[in-house]
Amino acid sequence: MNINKLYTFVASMAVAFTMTSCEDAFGDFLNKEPSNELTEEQVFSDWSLLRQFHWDTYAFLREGPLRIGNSWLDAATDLAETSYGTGGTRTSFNIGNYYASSASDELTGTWESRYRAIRKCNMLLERIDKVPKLSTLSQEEYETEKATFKAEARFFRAYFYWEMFLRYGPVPIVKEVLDPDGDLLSGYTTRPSINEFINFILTELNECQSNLLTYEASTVASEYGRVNQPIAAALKSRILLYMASPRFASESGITWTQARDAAKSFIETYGNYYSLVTENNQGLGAYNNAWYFTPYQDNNKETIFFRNKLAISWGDISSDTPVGEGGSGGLCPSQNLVDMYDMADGSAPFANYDATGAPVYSGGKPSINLGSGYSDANMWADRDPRLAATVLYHGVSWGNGVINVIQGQRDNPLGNQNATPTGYYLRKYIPATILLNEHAGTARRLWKIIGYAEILLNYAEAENEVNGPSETVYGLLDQIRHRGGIYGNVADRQTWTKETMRNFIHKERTVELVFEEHRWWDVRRWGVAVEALSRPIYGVNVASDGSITRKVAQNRVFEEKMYLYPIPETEVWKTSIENNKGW
Amino acid sequence: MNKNILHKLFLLVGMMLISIGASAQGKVTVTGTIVDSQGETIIGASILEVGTTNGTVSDFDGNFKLEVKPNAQLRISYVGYNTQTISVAGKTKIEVTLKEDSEVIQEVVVVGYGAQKKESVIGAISQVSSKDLLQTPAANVSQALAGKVPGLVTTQTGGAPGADDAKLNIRGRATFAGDGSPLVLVDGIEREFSQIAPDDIETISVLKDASATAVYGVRGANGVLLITTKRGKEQKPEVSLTANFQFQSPTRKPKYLNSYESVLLLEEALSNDGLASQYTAADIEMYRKSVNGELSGIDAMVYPNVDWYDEVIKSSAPAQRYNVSVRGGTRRMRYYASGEYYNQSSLIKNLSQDQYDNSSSPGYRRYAFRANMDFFMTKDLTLSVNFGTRFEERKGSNTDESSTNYAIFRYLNHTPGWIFPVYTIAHNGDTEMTLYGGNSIYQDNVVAALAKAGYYKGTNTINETNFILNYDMGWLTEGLSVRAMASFDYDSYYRKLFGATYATYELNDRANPDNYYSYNKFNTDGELGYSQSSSTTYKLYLEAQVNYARKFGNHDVTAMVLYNQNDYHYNSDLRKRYQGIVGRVTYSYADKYLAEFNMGYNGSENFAKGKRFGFFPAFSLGWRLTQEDFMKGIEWLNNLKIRASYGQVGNDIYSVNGVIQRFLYEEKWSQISGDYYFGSSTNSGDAHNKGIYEAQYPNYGVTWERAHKFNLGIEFGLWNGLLNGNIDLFYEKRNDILTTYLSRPEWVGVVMAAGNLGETKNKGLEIELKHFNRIGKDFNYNVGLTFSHAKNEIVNMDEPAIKDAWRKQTGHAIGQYFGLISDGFVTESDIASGSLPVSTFGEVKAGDLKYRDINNDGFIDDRDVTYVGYSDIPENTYALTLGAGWKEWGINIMFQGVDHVSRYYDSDAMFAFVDNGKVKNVHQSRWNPNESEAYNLANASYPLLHYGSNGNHNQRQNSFFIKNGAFIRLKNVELFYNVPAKWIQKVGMSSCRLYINANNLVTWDHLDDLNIDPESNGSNRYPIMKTVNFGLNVVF
Repeated sequence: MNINKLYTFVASMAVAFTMTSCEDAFGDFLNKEPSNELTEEQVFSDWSLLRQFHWDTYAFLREGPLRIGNSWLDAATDLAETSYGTGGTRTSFNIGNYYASSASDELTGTWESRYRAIRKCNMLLERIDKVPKLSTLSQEEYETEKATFKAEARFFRAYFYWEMFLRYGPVPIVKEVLDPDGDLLSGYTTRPSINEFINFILTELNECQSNLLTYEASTVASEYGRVNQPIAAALKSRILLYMASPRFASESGITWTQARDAAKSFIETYGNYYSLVTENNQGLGAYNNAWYFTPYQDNNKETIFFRNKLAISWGDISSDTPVGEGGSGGLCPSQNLVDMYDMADGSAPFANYDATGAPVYSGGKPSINLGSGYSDANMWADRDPRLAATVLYHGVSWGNGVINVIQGQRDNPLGNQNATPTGYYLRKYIPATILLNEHAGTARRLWKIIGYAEILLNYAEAENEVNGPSETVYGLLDQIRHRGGIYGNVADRQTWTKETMRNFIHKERTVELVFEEHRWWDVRRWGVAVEALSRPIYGVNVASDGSITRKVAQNRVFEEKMYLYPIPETEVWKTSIENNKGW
Repeated sequence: MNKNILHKLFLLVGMMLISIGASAQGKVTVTGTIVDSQGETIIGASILEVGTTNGTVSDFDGNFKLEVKPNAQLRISYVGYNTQTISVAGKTKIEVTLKEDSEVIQEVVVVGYGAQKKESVIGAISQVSSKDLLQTPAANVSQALAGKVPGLVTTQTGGAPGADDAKLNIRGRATFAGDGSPLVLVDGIEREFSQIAPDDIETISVLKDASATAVYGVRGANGVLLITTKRGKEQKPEVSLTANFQFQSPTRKPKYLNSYESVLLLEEALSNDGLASQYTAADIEMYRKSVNGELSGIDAMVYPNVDWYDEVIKSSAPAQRYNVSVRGGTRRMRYYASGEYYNQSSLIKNLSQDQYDNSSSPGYRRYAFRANMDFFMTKDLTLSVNFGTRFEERKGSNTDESSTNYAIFRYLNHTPGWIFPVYTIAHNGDTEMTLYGGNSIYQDNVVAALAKAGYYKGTNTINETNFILNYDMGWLTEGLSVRAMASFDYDSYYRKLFGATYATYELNDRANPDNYYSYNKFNTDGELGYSQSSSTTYKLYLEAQVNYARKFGNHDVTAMVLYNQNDYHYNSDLRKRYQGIVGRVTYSYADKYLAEFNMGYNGSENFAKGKRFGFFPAFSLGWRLTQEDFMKGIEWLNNLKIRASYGQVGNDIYSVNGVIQRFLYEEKWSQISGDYYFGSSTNSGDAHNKGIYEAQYPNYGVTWERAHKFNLGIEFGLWNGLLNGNIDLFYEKRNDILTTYLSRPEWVGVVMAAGNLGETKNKGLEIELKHFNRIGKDFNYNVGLTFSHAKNEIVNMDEPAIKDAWRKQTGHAIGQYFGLISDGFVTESDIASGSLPVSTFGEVKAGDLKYRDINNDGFIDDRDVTYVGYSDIPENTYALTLGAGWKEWGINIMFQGVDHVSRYYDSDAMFAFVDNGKVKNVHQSRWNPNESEAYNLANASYPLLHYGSNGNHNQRQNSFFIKNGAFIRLKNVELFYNVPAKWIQKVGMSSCRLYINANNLVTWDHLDDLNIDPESNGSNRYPIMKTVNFGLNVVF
């Protein structure tokens, strides 16, 4: 046995060992297999990829249907109740639990997703200048598109901050791409004032507006749905109206005059482009067509800002259709809403209205305006046609049957937990064409974020606050009401004061824009959220002989602190940021 | 007892070499028989003429024949027995009875990348032998391990044919990054092991501490299971035939109330919720008659009383397993070859109406073949080749059969028996039609699904191959050898599903039940169509090893270094790879002082270069006190060893909802089509349709999780085998466990990859005691007891400091249940007080559960959730084994139990009318609104009944419904009879054994009222089975 041989062997083993104990000696065996995954570097070095990065920001625009655990935000207002017993607004907002996980899509999801969207905007703004021109673009096209994208990113950032402001009040304004591994707290844990926050949003909107697409450029076939200059102006109108409202006026410093001017200037500047949809004559058809018509196929001039959507089918609406049609009930309008509609001739069915826009109740029902011809026994007859366009009530022929909410009957069967709790089902937003051919139909349904009707109502409301009832106010309201099918004129209805007109405009706004996610915010800015949102939700029972009785469908809870949502508690834990008052 | 093959082999080889060299001149011929103390012949004992190299071995009858000098001394030895020296003294016939060695027998333990003598093992390793394994009739190896290894926690959650694996955890669980499953290697390769033919397994080694697992480095932290298959022996061919016939039946069968009892409770639930009545008093009376069998015709149809279980489930399911193996060898080669056929049928009746007789009853079949061969090419060079092939066939119905949600059982548990009959016969003109029952809520009829919805067939072909070269380099220096292994595994899965839709019918015109048009129809009867899916996996593993083992006087040294790499491909997914080196040095002085150093330096592809490789060292020391001179005088103490180890091991698995997350160091940018549209554009090629977003911000520093493990063990043997045992204490700390960031504010605006933030600790002990005794010549018995305890705690998981204390997981066990605390039932006075917190989950009435409003915000919601009970992995596991042998008869019994475990069963197992479903016996003792409150408070064991989602308040995860999962099972019983040699030798057999064994025979637990097995997680899955097996093993 050769001892030298042994030493040589051991020594060579030892050398091999020490060499391989260094990671590099193992070579590239453990390198990840090449794959076609994108990197940040690629995204921001290729104009066509950058475009896709930017288009994705649009996907952060939300739509109302089924947004909060299968229910709508409007199911948290006095206008409706959801038939889903277990989730969404019913087990959260409606019982006053603003920490409930059933509404996390709204309560905490807004915080998370808006900041995610804002990071996208910040990222685009920081990196777009370094992205080289696409060879198919001329230098001028490249510069224009770049400026447009930047303007859109700033618009979106402002819009997302606005969405957060409504819910949480002023939140930390992040204007840069944060490094997740860096300091995330310094400068962000102190909340800005309302004034600072709103000024930021308004400044951004002002500065970005001129670089957004013009109306003409945004209304060519492939661009419908892009953010354009009118959208920025429309959003400004909304923000100024809100900020001039009682809830915010003192802290924002914005006046009704500013709000009036914003709406007025929109109409003056863009009034040639926009108008109410009046196709299919007045009334039920026209009012609904404001939804079912698309700007790009049906020349809908009413829709200003919308979330685009492909054609929808049964699966998109089944959650909100009557159980007798095979649906799940979903958003069920309340008697409170039904009571807000005028008579078809424009007269008021009830004697008094409050600042929430609703008739004043005593003993569970509103006192009737005897001259109107209204009676509870016949409550759906001769009403503002928008009622029938919005609400499916007992006896209405719709879809493949007749709505029948008598207990044990088609739309209120025994043992079906999704049967309507209010006695009503939803009609607005539910295109009946889908129900044809055993529910095989399709239809278009965009989610309208801002429409021309809102601008008219903004103008009317601000104008009344500035100058009181006037021909301008009457004209704006008649424009809307006549389109909706009411044939009487506002001016003829009664003698108006600023206060009665204010309540009337509140009612009109609620009815016209019902289920478009306005009520929840309007009652807050008017400072009447406690009155509007803590009163019981009423519904009706229809007996087997067809007689109607009112009932309380749900009692609601709303306290002063609920004007704002709590900041998500996990965020408070992480940052010790000051929470909203009362939370 | 432990006739270890390797050592037998060594001895055999040695003796044969010796006998070859022996001469046969001027001598006497001695013949003899060698038996053990039970009188059984010993095969292969060596007989050596002292002072010479002359010797032989005993043959299959224990006989030997040797020519020796007339005055010779014979030394007779056999592994596991005391060596005897006998004078020939002129005798020509000698009867030798060897006594078993009372000390720990020369046993070899399989360790990572090698084997060690049991005495010199200083890691915490438990080993299960083939014999132990085969006492259990379970054909699934993972199930057969239950109760056999201290520190190994097995949890079986279902018993579906071919999908009945038990979940394994070694020493509980110490990570929350994955499920904490151990690494499993079969013959050194990472492989599925549960469906290996049990007869092919030689040993299963369970490596528990860092000393044992450090060699697996980045993958060893959760413990390692080493399965070693049988190999050939140098002997004439030994053919073994085994046949097993089994009957399997559920350990528990859910029982639901009959229609009459159900509708009574249904009406009560509806009335509790203020909902409209569904059945009149007259209806209910008809149900009473129906249940009593007093109805016929249309009445029986309108008031059905269907027991869906009876319609679909058989009382037992047969299974058979046949195994044949041949084992033998010469000096040039050795072989072990086997074939197995296993056929397991299911409890579900074959109701299929397929015109080609295809069954919809689930079943599993396995054809397994194995050939392990060793070729001794030259004096120094050995080539070993292992082939393992398995064909697995699975079949079943066209229903969802996932392990957590087995649709057939969900239907059985969920479809009310009072609404519609299984089917009715009606006429459409002259055509007679079978109309399966259904209604708008229950459009699925399980009998119809099994009859008409189709079936599937799946095949899985698994090929496992090892090529091993072993080269003894003794020519270079004594004790040096090198070894290389290449392994190629291939696995191909193919599944074809034949499916059809089917219609169900609800009678709406009770006057004309015979008329087809009196029925509402749901869905349609469709044509059989098919779909298929397939997957392939291939794995290539390479390993090269240098071994050194040599004794210098009292200094015994071994050293090993090994390189390995693993390459895994599943379909066209990104490959998975591992690479590393392994080292071990052991030293022992005079078999007294033992020291060992183990290390793994290996890398995982999951991490970035520079963070990829980890160094995982482990140190261990052992002291065999009984080898010390000062202990020699203590007669009753045969063995005493103390061992201690410390080491580090890693874990690279991070999974979210069971999906393994890889490459966290990489930024993730996702591109999605159809993200947003402008105008009416829907063209997929349109750039406007695509969107890109930042899906995950990378963790550039991501690396493995590291475990620091301490182990202290003591092994002892007292009174010559009357008491043997070992005790291990362990403590483990883990850090760098991958977990989601919970402390970074969301205004950063991006989802972050998990960080190495988690810390846990885990501690416990294992006790194993064995008593063996022999009384007289014919009787022996043994008692064994194992107990293990492992308790873990989350030390850090990045929870913000100011998070509500009661909601923090930190400080609690991994996977501990969280739920609402129930303080009994709500009473009328609670409601009258007005101070009852508002439930977010529905309106609360007297008799509902009263939850504690922990945060005092006036609401019962998810923020009042706190820890309740234990986790679903038991902290304590124990087993008691009892065995006895009398002449040819023997019996073995094992009780197995777990404790400190909680279970939360699925809703169909626990709740009344869930999703408008049905009710069990347990719901009879609900809070009854017709009784006084005092009566209810004293007697109710279930809250107020509700209908459907109105019961949501009570059906939250809460302390009322969390169940104590502790149980004791009569896990195994085996009774066997060895047919005496004198009978079987005539037909050429060397052994014939008849046995009956059974598992899961009886279970004692805390859930009798639910009628479900405590280990299952509910009733919507295939039940856990009890098996009674009749078997025969014949060896030629």
